Amino acid sequence: MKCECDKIDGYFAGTLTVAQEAQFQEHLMHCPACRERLAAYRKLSVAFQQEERRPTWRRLGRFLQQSRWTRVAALFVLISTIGIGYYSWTRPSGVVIQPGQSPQVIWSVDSFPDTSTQADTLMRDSIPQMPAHIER
Amino acid sequence: MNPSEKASFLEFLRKDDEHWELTRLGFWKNPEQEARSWNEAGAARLSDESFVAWKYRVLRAYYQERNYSKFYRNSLLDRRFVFLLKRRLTLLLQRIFSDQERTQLDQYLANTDESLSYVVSAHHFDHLFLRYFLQEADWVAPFEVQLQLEKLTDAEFPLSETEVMQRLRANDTHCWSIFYRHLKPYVIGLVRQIGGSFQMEDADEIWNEVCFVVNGALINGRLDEATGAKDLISYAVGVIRNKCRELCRIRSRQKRVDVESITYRLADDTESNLFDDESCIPANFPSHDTPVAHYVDAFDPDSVRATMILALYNQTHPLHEALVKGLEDEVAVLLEHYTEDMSYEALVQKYEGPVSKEEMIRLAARYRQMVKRVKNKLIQRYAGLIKARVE
Repeated sequence: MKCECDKIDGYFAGTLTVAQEAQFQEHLMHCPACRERLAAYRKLSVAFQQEERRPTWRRLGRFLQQSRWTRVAALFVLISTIGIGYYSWTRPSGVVIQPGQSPQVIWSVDSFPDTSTQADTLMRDSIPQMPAHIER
Repeated sequence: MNPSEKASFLEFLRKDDEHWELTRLGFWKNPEQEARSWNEAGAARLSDESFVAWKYRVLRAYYQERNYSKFYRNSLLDRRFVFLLKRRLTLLLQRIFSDQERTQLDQYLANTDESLSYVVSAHHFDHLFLRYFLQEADWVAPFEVQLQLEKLTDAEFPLSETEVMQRLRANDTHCWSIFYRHLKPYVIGLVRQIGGSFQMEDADEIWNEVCFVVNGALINGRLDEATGAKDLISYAVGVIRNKCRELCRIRSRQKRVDVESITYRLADDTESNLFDDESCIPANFPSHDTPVAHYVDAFDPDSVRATMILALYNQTHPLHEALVKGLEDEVAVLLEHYTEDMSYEALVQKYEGPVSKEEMIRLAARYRQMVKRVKNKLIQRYAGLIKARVE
């Protein structure tokens, strides 16, 4: 079905005056071809708008809807993440200092004593000494 | 209201939503729900009432009940609403520009698809906003705001030559950029004709220099106060000509060409004689290649999207072929999916025949990806098509 009406593009693009717009809306009331075309324009507009504005969580939702295995895998990842998080939060952090115990001898994993001095000494010892008769 | 009137009422609200983004600005949740829930007592069309009169009556009653005037007053402080007002004004000016005969001012100072008579720059809009929308802020319905915009365009546009020249003197960058674009074809033509160079680098260099010189001459008052549009373009062409002669001298020193033997054709300064060569007619220059019928506000994404959809859907549109070339099959699938509401599964069945369930999931995902890709391609292509105008 076709309509020779030339106002529909202007109506969709929003360039008609108030009076022209009202006239076209009256025409729209009686013209199924224009209604159909306008609906198609609007659907395309929404489609392209969504492409620009679709938020990440909605895309994630669509991804999850793709298949049953995707949902199972996502559920597994979620449960694992929660489990690891819970374990990290509740596990004891380092060694507990007992009453009367000297705090100097206790260190946690990330506070080992600096061993650079020992290493430096080893390095120095391994370098061959220069003969005494050669002057610098 | 009968079903047909109800459908029309919903269409009124939808259009208002498209124009003024009432959903996004929080006036209502969506027009469909509003149309359904509105108490329609006395809203039916009277037997002797015209459609237009009925539309205005019913919309006034609806918006009065929803207290639109309060929403409007509050929205005047909302940057998004002010942006919408400017967009509506720009669209209105675009329509007037494409309907009216080109003004003499535009013939002198703007390209065929642009206008200085119907332009609204940021500073100018602030002035109009204060005068037409802040001082008179009592509108019952959105269409009254639109009518106020029409009143504004009738009263203020087309801009007079004096106003445009004042804006150029005040260094209005928006107006200058339109004029600069207008100068480019002249520069290319004269660089070819006088300068004997067909290299775009030479034209670009001279164009930059000319823009700088002309702008400086006008805003620093080196040109007479009474300078009009014709004087300005004459001055600009004079500057271009001098720059091209300079280029020609440089080239002649390199190639030993007699300058006078090349420039004798410019004895007559009229525009027609300047561009008597077929390749030098501004309409034939690359900058005029774009078949955009009237100018698009490339900085307004909604306006660009609307024009792109018109080009995509209408096979007779001048941009349609350039837009969908090589993507015809993908675009057909896209249109079927969005306009005919065919699901990806239905599309798979149509194009691939009967397939197993696992295969269907895989192919539907592939079609979804294809539609997404083609949408991005179309956006990029359309941006490329209108890019020539923006630069």
